[in-house]
Amino acid sequence: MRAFDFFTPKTINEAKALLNQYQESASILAGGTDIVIEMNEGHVRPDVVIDIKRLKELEYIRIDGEQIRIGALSTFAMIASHPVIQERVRVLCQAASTVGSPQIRNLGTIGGNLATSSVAGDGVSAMMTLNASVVLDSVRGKRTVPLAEFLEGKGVSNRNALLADEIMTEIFFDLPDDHTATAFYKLAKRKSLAISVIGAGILVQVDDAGICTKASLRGGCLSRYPLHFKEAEAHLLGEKITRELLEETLPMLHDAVYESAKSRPWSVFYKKESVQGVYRKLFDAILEQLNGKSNE
Amino acid sequence: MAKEYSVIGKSKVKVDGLEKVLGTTKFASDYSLPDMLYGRVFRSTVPHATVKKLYLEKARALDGVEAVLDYHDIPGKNRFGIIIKDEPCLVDDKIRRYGDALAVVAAKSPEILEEALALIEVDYDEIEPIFTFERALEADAPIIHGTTNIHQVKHLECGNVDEAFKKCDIIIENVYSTHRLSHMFIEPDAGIAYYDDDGLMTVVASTQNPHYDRNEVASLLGLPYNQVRVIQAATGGAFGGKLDISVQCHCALLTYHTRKPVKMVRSRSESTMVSAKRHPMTIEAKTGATRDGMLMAMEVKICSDTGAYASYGPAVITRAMVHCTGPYSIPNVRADATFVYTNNPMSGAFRGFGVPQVAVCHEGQMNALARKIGMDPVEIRIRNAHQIGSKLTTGQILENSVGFIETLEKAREKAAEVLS
Amino acid sequence: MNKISISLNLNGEDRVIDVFPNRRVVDLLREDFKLTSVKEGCSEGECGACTVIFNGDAVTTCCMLAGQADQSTIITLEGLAKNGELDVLQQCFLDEGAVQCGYCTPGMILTAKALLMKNSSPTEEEIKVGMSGNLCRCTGYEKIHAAVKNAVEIYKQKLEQGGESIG
Repeated sequence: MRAFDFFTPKTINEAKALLNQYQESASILAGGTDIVIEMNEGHVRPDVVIDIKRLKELEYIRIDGEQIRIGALSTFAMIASHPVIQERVRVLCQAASTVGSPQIRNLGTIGGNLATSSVAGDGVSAMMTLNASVVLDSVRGKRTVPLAEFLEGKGVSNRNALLADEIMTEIFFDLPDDHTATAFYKLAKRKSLAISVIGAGILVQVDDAGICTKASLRGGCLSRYPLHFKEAEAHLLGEKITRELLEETLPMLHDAVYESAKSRPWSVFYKKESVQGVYRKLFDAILEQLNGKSNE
Repeated sequence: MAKEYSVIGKSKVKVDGLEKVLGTTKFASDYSLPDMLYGRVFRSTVPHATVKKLYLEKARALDGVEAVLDYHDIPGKNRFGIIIKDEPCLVDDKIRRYGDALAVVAAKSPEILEEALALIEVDYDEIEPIFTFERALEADAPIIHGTTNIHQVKHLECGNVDEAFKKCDIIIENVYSTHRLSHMFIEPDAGIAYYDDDGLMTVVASTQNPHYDRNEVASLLGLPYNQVRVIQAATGGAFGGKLDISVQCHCALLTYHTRKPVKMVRSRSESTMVSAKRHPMTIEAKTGATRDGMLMAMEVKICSDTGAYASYGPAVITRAMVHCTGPYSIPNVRADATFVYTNNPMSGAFRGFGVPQVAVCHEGQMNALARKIGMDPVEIRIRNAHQIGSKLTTGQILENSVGFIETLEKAREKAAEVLS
Repeated sequence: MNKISISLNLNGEDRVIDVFPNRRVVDLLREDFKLTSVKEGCSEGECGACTVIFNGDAVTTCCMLAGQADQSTIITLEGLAKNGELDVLQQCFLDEGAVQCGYCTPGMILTAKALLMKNSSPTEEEIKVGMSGNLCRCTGYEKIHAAVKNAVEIYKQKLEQGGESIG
């Protein structure tokens, strides 16, 4: 591995100062499960590595009124085992518990997953389904960016809006209420140690009459960033959620994946079929949750 | 009354189990010796080319580098291979696959080694690469070895196939193809070479084939066999993939020139790139039977890609061909097999030596026949199964240990039990 | 490049070492501390052979930089047997024949150990998920699973008899 200098800041301010000093020549090390592999293979060659994993101040999961705020250095294992996330935010719980392997979930962080912005990032798909926002911090001050905007940004890595002197410190989103069901399904070659082929999320909110008041469908690994199934969402809004209504969106999912995949290698073309199977499973999950809730 | 044995029928603790649960078992990469150097190979990044020039000077000049060798530094014979000696230790005439070895480097630390490899450059004269069986056989295709891209052609025939087909009630014709597979043994290839106290060139390696390795190292260095010793370290899985030479010759060559111990440990990607693969095959099959499901005739054409080097290709072609009928008695059989060289990764030994590939074909044919006749798929197999006294396509008579029918019946019982 | 100082508790002993930062934890343990039970299989966190117990969690050391080991507590397979006596998991792997080539074994045992340290009576499913980050290419999963199950039972009996706890 190429030579570099290694820093272990004790506070977030120290970390921001180091980033301000070294800018593009520095790489941030959070869990390390992506960047250390890249460095070992020589694909990433930083002069300076700043290990922020010890900043315990960025390792938390807090319920803050109507929102959940997650410190960027919270690991997937922490997220998957958090009781409120298990109970109320299944899309995130399920995504977090299918990332990599138990060992990777013990190291990998949600902030690292979002900042890496991989096509196959399960955390990215789940957080997009939840319409999350991220907080970016630097010596210049903090800024809050919706995740969708963050992913479209052209920052230091050209993968997202993160600038050379910035650290992602927090991710937050609205805590799904009693009338909201969410789910995540990962299609992959194996159950474990597998990169997603499709990592899809769904969120559906209904009113007392069962009419859809909010819908969010995002499919990871179907385009550069989680594919937004806008037509399907519009089809659900204002209608009573039934299996029939949900299944009416399947051709829309097919067409959206077709549009996204048609300019890509033929080897991903099958996904226009498999996306429908994936969403059938997600529909089962949310119908079960919504019916369970109405029976309570 | 059943005889009591001391081992058979008993649950015994493995002789090497204790060391393995303690983690003290030494695999090749766990060896370290005083003054040891770290070695690695500089490999081609094109599949088919001649080398115009290899620039080794900068790497040689780097502090901490003890040897940078190319084919000129080989004192003996620069060819190895289990059956046909067609693979160079270091490329001399031309590159035949992505990842062919061009130079070897030994350095005092893994970090210096990495730096040295980055300083090596090469100019290629590229040749059209051949990636398919079909292209390899075309008249204008470049030749990979010698005068033809045909590696081997074999033919096996018994009975009168053409006459027998005329008498069949049902004929099934299909084409099957199987893909290239990597063994993915969990321990990447590794080894360490050194001169022992008696001055013997010694190689400790992760290998399945120490005797053969000894001969290859001796031939490479121009030494008599009794001057070379190869020791098999505990080996972390192989499945046929560690029958070929991996690091043994490169390590030994570096030790020969530096007189120091040299350790080489392949990365996972290097291991996967250059270790042998399962032969991908395309199998055309025509099977004829009577209305009551008795097999009468079979005709099989097997085409396979043995990649850049022969490795165990000559063994695989024979095994695939003689096993093409599977465990079924067929009186009239014609099998033709053609293996070609390409610029793909080399194909070699992998659990079954070609037999699993043809099993895809003969079992597919049996299912297709059963469906067409409307017969139970187990029944049609039992009806045609080899038993004691059956004659194989090769003429061999089976004299004992033919448990196929019993196995099928047991499997059927078990399946009924599980499914009920 | 400046060397960094790493202080850690390694297999129950406090150790301090100065190393260049461009090594991974797997290199630190194998090359600098000569703890060769830690195996490198894939170098990308896919196979689990390099697993150790790091601050109580199973982690793959091929995706960690040496510096991340500073101020940590690490247990490798060398640290499991106490005074020549095998850990219950080691004994169960041995008795069950859950060892073939032995290359995945250190990672398997340590992953199981970390699992049991957190959850002393895992269900079958929890064992399967817990062990899902370790590959065995000789296909000994049935026996490995049985070995972990047996260990759970033995620990349970030991606890009932007022004996030592798992971790």
